[in-house]
Amino acid sequence: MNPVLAREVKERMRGLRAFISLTIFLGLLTLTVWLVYQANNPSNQFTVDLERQTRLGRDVFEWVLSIMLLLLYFLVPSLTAGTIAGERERQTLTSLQVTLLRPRAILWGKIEAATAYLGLMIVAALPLFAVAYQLGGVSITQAAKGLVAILVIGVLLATMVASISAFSKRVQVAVLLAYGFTGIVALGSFVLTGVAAIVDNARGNGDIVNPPAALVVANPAVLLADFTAGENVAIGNTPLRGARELTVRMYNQNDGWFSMSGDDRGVRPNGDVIVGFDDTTRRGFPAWVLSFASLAAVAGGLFFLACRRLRTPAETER
Amino acid sequence: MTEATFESPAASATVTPTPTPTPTAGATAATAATAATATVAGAAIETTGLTKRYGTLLAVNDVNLTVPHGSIFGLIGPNGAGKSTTFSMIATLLRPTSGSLRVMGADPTSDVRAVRSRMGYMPDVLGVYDNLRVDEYLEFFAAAYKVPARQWPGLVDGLLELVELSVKKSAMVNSLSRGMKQRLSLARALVHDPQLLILDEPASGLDPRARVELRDLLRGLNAMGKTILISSHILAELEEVCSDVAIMEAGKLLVSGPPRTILDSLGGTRTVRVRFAGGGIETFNAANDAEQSALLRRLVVDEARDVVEFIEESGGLEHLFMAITQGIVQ
Repeated sequence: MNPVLAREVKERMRGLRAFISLTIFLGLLTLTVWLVYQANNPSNQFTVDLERQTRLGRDVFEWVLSIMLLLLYFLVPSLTAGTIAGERERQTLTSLQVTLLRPRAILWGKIEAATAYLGLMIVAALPLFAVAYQLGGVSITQAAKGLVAILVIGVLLATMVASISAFSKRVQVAVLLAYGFTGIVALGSFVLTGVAAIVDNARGNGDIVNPPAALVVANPAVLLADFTAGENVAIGNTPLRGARELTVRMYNQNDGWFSMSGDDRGVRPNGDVIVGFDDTTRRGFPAWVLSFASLAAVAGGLFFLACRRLRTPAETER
Repeated sequence: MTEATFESPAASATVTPTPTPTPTAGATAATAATAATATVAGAAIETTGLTKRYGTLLAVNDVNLTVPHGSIFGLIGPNGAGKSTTFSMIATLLRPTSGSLRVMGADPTSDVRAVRSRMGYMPDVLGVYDNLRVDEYLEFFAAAYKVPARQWPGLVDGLLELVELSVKKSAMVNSLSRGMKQRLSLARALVHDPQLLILDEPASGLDPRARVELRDLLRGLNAMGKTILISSHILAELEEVCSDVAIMEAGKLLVSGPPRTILDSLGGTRTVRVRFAGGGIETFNAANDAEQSALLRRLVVDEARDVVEFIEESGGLEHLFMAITQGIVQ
């Protein structure tokens, strides 16, 4: 086992902070389930409306996943922002660098430790997924895929943030950088798409507004939405549904070179018709693959640069 | 690899207990050091034209340094002299701008792992993981140095015994005093049983008792055959333990060798204070050991005076340091 992982886990689980974070995490997810359930609870308890119950199960599932993703954006920076910067600030990095551990082992140990804690949180949240499964609208496979996607996004985000931490000398600066970068990862692709649409519209070519579809794909929400898509995805209003719709719109407008998973066409409870992508034109990589590849490329690039930064002997004292 | 050459300090500690603070301890250490020097060919550290430049600042300037095997070698210099930069280059942390460097027979710029497996480094800043127990702290570094896990229990016990922290084995690191943390840091540097120890200001911030204990510990380690390169601002500390010293100023190495030899080479700068029976005190100039001996003979034998005290007043490292350095700040 990587000694850095073993040490980090010991240190993390020794304090109260880990248990408080876990409690808050589970508390917020439980609250989400309760709110979604209350919002969709049939007024007549003695009538079984299967369609409504299916929608409720799917809504619970997607809302729990959405809130988990949102919490990841806050949790991962707090878990990993200070990893290397903290070693520098505590003045322990030098002692670590003169051991036989390679820079990538030091950095990867930190990422593994963050991932282990995220894994614990996800396992602790399993009963909430069981609620969604019990209600219907979600298969075991979809639930498992949702958990895997959350863990993968967590690892990628942890890799990015821990790598950024290697470039900072102070924890406070590292935390600011971490949240700033996480904000870019969470919203960057949507903002870029919006900007590209405005620019395209301003050109006034007379055609439809069609920013490059690939822009929107590089986003964890798209990864999660597309990877967990399946039957019944068109019903209900959830953040994941929103991400899926946006991606589909981009796909349709651009004769997309990626495909979407699941069947997105359907009718909303209020009667709105949802235009999904045309299944007959399905081609190219699924959106979640492109999303994963783009995020992994960023994470890998940052990891490489961070390892170079930590490499000794260095030209200057770091 | 560490596994192949590992020898638990625990075993060494039981065979060669830490010497008690007596005047003979230094002699014992010196004898052991001489023996170690005799058995290992070449120098533990050898630098030729070692230079480190940061932009326009020449932090280390053309340093030629030889640290013999088995010695306790003191590197002295004012703040900003380039000591820590030199240590960082020796400890594989910094790449020299120019010059060559050999540490325990390997090049720290190209054969990093070989150097690290033979060298223990204690930096000038005391950084420890507060949220670990003392034994966990040492186990972590044992793992980082690839010491097999089956050796950890004996290794940790041996090291804690060596640095006299056995009673604190299960204590949290953040509960230790500064002196204890310093000793724990030294134990950490010893965890892979290195033959070379590089200690950057190990006595800084320690109270007098902790300094004496650290000095005895260094003598004990030297008696085990370890070469020690040490820097300190407290010259009296180094004077008592070092077999060789080098003085740096403004990045340059001014002088290097055994303190007594350097003092003798300065000539005419040593003063002897003599107290006679009845309370009379006189001072004499004696440039070297031979002149001092002749002076004593003249006073006692030729002049038949009742000498009750014969002390070299200004022949220590402090005098040497003040005589050689010019207080240059860069």
